[in-house]
Amino acid sequence: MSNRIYMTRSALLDEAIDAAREAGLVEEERAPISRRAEAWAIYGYRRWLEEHEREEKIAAYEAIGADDDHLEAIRAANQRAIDAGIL
Amino acid sequence: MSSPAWGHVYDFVLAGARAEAAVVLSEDDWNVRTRDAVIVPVYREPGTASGNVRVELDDQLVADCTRVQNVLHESLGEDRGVCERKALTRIRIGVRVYLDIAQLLNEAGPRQPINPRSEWWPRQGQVRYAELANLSQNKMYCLLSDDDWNSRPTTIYSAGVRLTSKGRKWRSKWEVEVPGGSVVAGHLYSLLHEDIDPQPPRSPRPAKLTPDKLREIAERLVVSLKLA
Repeated sequence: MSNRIYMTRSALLDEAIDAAREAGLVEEERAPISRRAEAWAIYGYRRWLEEHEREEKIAAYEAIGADDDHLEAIRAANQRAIDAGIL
Repeated sequence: MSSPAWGHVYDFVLAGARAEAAVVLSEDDWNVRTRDAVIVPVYREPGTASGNVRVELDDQLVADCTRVQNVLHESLGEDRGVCERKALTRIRIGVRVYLDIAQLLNEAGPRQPINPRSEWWPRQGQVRYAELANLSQNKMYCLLSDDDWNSRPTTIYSAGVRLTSKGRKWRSKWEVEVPGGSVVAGHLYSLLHEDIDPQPPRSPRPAKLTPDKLREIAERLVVSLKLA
């Protein structure tokens, strides 16, 4: 797998929304897009990727999806370490 | 910034931190696929190097291998270049010692602590929730640092790897399946003892991991942190 699969969340979201619209999974006009629609767009995009076996893109999607939770946890842990004087 | 590189020393720019620099230990494959890196923090504390775990980089800077942990890429500033070879080797040895890699690889079970404190302390292999301020949901971790370290009267933190509920194909080379989810060898935390719940999580979540699972985690850590 290429190492150059990294995409920003906004770039991924743009692509997800386009693909999800093409698949009829989100309404054409919704601005600004709601979080629910955003979630559906990404979900729809993942399904589209899976159907088309875009392994690298699925990896990029999962990497970003996993990031949000993990990055928040890292921030919290680093701050606790700083507060305790060990970082 | 571009992805940090294994073995390089970076300015550490996280606000409020005492650490002046950081040595990146996560392998480059990890660093380019994620937005975080595993680092060993470096302090300007001349003359405080000791044992295997506090390694002198020069006459001013000391790397503390007991504080190995994930940080975000944005916490790393200017690249100071490749860590001096001997110092990097000693740091890798220090992290191996702290994470008890040899013992875990041998499935030898926790070492007996030499002088354990009387009050509660977390044990190697235990799975526990930790409550981190500013984090909406408590996460589960498996303690890895050896029991001699964990039990010392002066120890206030231990090393843990996070348990996640769902494995991911893209990071499978770093994952170990455990009951109820998986451990990602590379999601490495310094957990303050005061944040760790002494009680085990409710069944079916495991109260502790078996020696064979700990061995698998150690094997993945050897890969993700290049500790061989």
